[in-house]
Formats: sequence, structure tokens, C-alpha cells
Amino acid sequence: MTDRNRKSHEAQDALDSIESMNRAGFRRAVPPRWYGIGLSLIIAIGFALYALEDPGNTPALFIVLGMVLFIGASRERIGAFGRDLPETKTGMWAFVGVCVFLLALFFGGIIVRRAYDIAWVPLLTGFVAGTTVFLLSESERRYYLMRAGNGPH
Amino acid sequence: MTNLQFDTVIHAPNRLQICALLAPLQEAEFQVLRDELEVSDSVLSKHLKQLEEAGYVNFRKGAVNGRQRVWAGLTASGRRAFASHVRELQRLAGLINNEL
Repeated sequence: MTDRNRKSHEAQDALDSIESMNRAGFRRAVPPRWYGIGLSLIIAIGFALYALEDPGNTPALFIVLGMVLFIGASRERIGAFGRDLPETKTGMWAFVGVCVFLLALFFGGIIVRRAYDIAWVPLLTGFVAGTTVFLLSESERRYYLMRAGNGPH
Repeated sequence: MTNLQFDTVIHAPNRLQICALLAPLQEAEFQVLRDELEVSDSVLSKHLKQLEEAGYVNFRKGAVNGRQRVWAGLTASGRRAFASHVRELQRLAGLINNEL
């Protein structure tokens, strides 16, 4: 075997090792289903409470604090978690779009409830926000499972 | 033009695996790294320290159930160096054009 072929084989072996560990990383980062359900419930309740009450209301603030604690505690328990922000331009734009949508939903719910005093608007706002977050969480799960080589469950 | 740089710090088998495992992650706990690499605590610590000295990995300490845990994550320069190293390996393996 020539030196060039040997280096080529060694490089391929290294790449195979990288691929295997990469998959292991994605496998470890798969969020459990309870994480998405928990997060979407907290956000749904938070959105609904903010729209129901005036901003700065103490229970609603506890919801925000609860969300931060939930995310932190979940990550500590899971032991590994994926990148905080998307790595591709498309992913970043999608992330920005989702944030804009949720913000619009958040303030829209408050404005509509105050202007028209429609009781079910806050509940609808919370439901839409919670469902959005849950679907995004499930999408993330499927992505990580696919990259781990396990396919979506 | 994408950088191609063979990195001798990263290329050692265990350190290569550490970087590959951390690449898709924000952070991973020390135990996760140890279990996936199937090495002892001391071996893993040694390699992580070398990566830290090269500026490729940083650490965070946290408490889980009252026990101190260490989390490791690739730095921005670590991610760039790893990506560049992978590209060089791909070139050596003949997977990409030699002339870039």
C-alpha cells in the first residue's frame, strides 16, 4: 500500500469514527417527550395568564420563572442538549420568525382582551402558543432522532 | 474559501471523538462523555485538559441532586478548528477535490 493510500485509509477511519460519535451526540441530545409537553404547558399557561391579567401580575411572573427553572433543571437531568441556536441561515430565519409570531401572539392577546373584553381570547392565545411550542419540540425530537440514525419515533 | 487545517491536537483518537461528540451539542456532562468514549475518568480528564489548553473546550460546573457535575462544550474556535480538521480529513480521504 502506498503512503498516499495509507493516509487515505487512515483519514477515512477517522471520518468513520467522527460519524459514529456525531450520531452518539445527536442520540444523547434527543429531548424526552415530557420536556416538550412540560414546556408547552408552562408557555400556554403563561400566555393565557398575561392576557387575562395586567402585565406585571405576580402569578404570571412566576410562570416565566418556572419556565426558566424547568429548562435549566431538565437540561441538568438529561445530561446533554443540542445547540441553543440554529446553525444554518434558514434555521436562524425560521427561529426569528417563530419568535416574532409568539411575540405578536403575546401582545395581540393582551390588546384584544383589553380592547374588546372577550374572555376566551387569552385561552386561545395560550392554546396556540402551547401548541406551537409542542410542535416545535416534536420537530426537534424527530430531527435529532434522524441525525442519530434512529429515524423518527 | 473554506479552511483546511490538520490539527494535531484534535487528531488524537480520543480527542477527535470528544470533539465529534460535542459538535452537535451545546454542552455535555462529563459522565456522558466518559460513557460514550468508554474511557476512565482520568483519561478523559487528561484529554479534556489538553483541549482546554488549546482553547477548544470550556467547562461549566453545576450541581445535580447535591452532587457537583462538570459540563464541557466546544468553544467557537474549537468548532472552527474541528470543522477545518474534518475538511482536511475529507480531502485526504479523497472525498473532496484537492484543489479548493
